[in-house]
Amino acid sequence: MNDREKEKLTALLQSAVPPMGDGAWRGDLWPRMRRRLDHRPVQVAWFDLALAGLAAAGFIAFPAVIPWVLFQC
Amino acid sequence: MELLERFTGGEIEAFETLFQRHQADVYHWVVGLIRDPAAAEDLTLEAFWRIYRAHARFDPARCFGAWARRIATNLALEHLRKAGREVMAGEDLLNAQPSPPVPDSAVLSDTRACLRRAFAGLPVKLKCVAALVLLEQQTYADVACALGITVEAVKSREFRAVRLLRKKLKEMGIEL
Repeated sequence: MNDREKEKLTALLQSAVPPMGDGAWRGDLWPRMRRRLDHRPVQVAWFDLALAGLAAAGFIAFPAVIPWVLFQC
Repeated sequence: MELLERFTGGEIEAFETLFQRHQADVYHWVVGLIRDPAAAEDLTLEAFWRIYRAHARFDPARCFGAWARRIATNLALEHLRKAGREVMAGEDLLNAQPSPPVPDSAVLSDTRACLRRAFAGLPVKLKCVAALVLLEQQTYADVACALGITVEAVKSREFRAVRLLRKKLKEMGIEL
């Protein structure tokens, strides 16, 4: 296929399926982005979760240490 | 401090500046790919959301616009595949496009309809390149960068897309 045939097909394709990204859009998505940023869920690091899990497991296994920990706090 | 470095540090004002600068470009890129304005806005938003979440991984020495397009392109491809369309848009959406205001013979109109069907039936990979290169007139380099492939691969996909379109048209009884 030569360039002329390709150009012909391209022109026909553009008339059949008009380009969309022609720069006519003037929207502003920032307000939606801002709302999303403001409502983002609190993210907890895996290390913090693991630490909390270990502490909970420790209290379940050795409940006697709870008063001691509370006293230290 | 440079804008991109402030963004990498997680500064929201820097992100807003980048968002305002690049949102139209990303939107036009996405809408050219998926050909659905409402979905393109949602995907643009999602792309920037992912960009913000990945701010710490961004290298300020790189081009932000190209990075944003790359993320948006991946989302657009994911969207097309999820929608199970295997095409850039449904026939109804394509038919809803305004026709050019030129005198149109019945034969030409029929050819266009066949071409729309042939285009809609292209595999996603080829259709992306066809939409961006042939329809939206984007450069090979930009398309290659957004798709994460080489310029040669883009040209190869373009060639295959054009060949497939001609073959499909031929099957419909139309010779170009």
